[in-house]
Amino acid sequence: MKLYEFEGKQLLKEAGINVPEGYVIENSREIQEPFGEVIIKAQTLEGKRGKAGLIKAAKTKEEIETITKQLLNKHHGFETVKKLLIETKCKIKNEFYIAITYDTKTRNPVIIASSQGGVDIEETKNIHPSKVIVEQINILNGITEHEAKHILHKAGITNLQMIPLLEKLYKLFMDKDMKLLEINPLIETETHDLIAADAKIILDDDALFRQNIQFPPRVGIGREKTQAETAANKVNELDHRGIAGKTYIELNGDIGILASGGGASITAVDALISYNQKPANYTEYSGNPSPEKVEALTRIVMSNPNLKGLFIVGAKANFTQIHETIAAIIKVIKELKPEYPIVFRRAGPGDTEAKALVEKTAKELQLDMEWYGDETPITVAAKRMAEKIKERRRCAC
Amino acid sequence: MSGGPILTLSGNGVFIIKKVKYKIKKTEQTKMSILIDQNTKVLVQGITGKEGIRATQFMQSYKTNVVAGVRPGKGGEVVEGVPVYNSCKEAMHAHPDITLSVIIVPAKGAKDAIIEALEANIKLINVITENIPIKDTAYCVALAKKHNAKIIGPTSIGIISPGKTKVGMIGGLTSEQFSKGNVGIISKSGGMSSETASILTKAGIGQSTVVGCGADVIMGTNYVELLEIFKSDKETKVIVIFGEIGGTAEEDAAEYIKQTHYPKPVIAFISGKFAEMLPSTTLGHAGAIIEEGKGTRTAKVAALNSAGVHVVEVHHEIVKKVKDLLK
Repeated sequence: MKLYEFEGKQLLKEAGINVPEGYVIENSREIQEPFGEVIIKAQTLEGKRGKAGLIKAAKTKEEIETITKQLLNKHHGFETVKKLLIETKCKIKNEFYIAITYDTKTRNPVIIASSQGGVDIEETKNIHPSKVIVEQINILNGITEHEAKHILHKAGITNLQMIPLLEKLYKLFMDKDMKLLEINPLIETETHDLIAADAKIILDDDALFRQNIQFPPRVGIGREKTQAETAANKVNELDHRGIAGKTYIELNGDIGILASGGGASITAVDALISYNQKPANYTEYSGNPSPEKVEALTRIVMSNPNLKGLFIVGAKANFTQIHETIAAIIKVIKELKPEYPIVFRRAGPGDTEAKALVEKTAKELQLDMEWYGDETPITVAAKRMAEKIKERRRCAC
Repeated sequence: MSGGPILTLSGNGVFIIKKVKYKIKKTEQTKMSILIDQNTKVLVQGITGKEGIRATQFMQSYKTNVVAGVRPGKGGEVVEGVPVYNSCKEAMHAHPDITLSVIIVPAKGAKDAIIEALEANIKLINVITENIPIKDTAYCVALAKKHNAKIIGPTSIGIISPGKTKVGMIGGLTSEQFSKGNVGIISKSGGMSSETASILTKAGIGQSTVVGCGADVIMGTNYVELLEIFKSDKETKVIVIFGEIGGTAEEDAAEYIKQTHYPKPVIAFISGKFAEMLPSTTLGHAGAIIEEGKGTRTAKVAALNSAGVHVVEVHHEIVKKVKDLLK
């Protein structure tokens, strides 16, 4: 779970780390009379706000009002700006960079530090590799004062207050189960105080069960959910049997996808793309979900008016009852009687019955449905789906 | 392998001296297959749960020697003919020949279960549990290193050496997708480990060992370590990697294959073309610094190609490639 800057700063503040004085607004009525210069920062999950003109300075209430009008409801990537953070501008002497994350290669937590913060740290790393240091931490021991001193010395940061601050940040990173804690810049003021002027935090979703985090849920891909996506997620909550619709992403293509198993579903969708086809959605059901869930998920996939094909695919199931899930899908197909081609590729318990049901339904209702079992690789079935779509296009010409 | 400097030829024809980063202990060569074989004696932690019972049935269907189970508070019970103990220590006391523990407990309890197995001196731990917090995995991996033990997973489907034995959930009740042969498979995806074996089996090509390594950000045993184990396995002639986007495991494998002039042909399929159509979900700048532009499918494919790995674009092309390489 990626946090907005103001949420991240709330966590920092609670941990006793200084952040600039500030408040969050959602409309111009909430603007307060400024004491001195302020910085107005649009709250988005996507980065590169500075370059996108989403961070601005102001001195008077009128200026803040003008900027608020400009920034609120502005689009940034997949997001719309709904909140602004208004903060007192700090008097900067130095800007540092501090981040804590996991190194997937060494499998350790790492601290990344630089005395040259405030700018794009990747660029700094490219131009002056020695100015950005990466230190591996032994998670069994945590960070010692000695280690903190060593890291800061190596990074060229001399402010002594940084030692306890680094220890505090590491503790916060661990206590809150973070995947990333990045502060850029960490400001050193004229009076040598240290203030976290920004906060980029990603929490570990798998650890939320043991965290008392009150922030509202958000979409992984950084945009608001569509109606179909919200509906699919609700389907998953119908009962506790298996998974169906927990992940649902609407895409721009025209082939509906009902896939089983994470690896298989991605392989199948990849193959469609390799054969120049575009999926209309990505979704997945697995773990022997109830027929009710599968039926509801099928309705959502098939409600897309742009569909030119439907691909029902999965690796050979270990215990998902194929005849039950396929019967649930067929129920919806029988009601909607789509004209477009439908390709099945499924195998596992009950697949013979499922195949018979599909073939019988195809004959009775004159539907274009083809069944493939595990004699046909998933990706060959994807090729067949692509061929059928192309055949139709040719016929239409 | 030692960590001495080696001379390599970089892409532009310049000789560079690089320190070899991989220090991996020599694996036992006496075993019939890697990681597991007929002598493997399995402990199941979480044996009384729904998934634990299922895994036990799956393993027993392949004649795997499941000797004990653990579930605190349920000591004295019997599940599928297997005696249950309150702790790993108790189980080890009664069955000192246990060689491997399958962890199939809820994510909340996984860390404690792994620590218990390590402290009971079990050296090979297959973690089936999904959604374990990263902090817990990182801790367990570091602790396993200290104990000189290996964790396969988390989120592993299991391990199978066809015709010999299997552990975890892999293959279900029939295991008919698998057949005995000379292809080693390492797969991040559980479902696709079976599927990859299945298309090979259907083409008459068997497998030596299939390892579900899981796709977590932190992998207990990564491709490099598994390739190192497969290297000395006499039964393995070709290795197939099923990779997924995220992390740097595939790029690290490419670097390792290049640096060590890996002696066996490696085929790789990397899924995630579709994921590259979505907005970025990387870890921002810090992630970029650690991963140095790695993690995407494009980067992984490029790295593997440059290491001489045979990268296939569509999954079923693996079969033809394996056939060509086994000739």
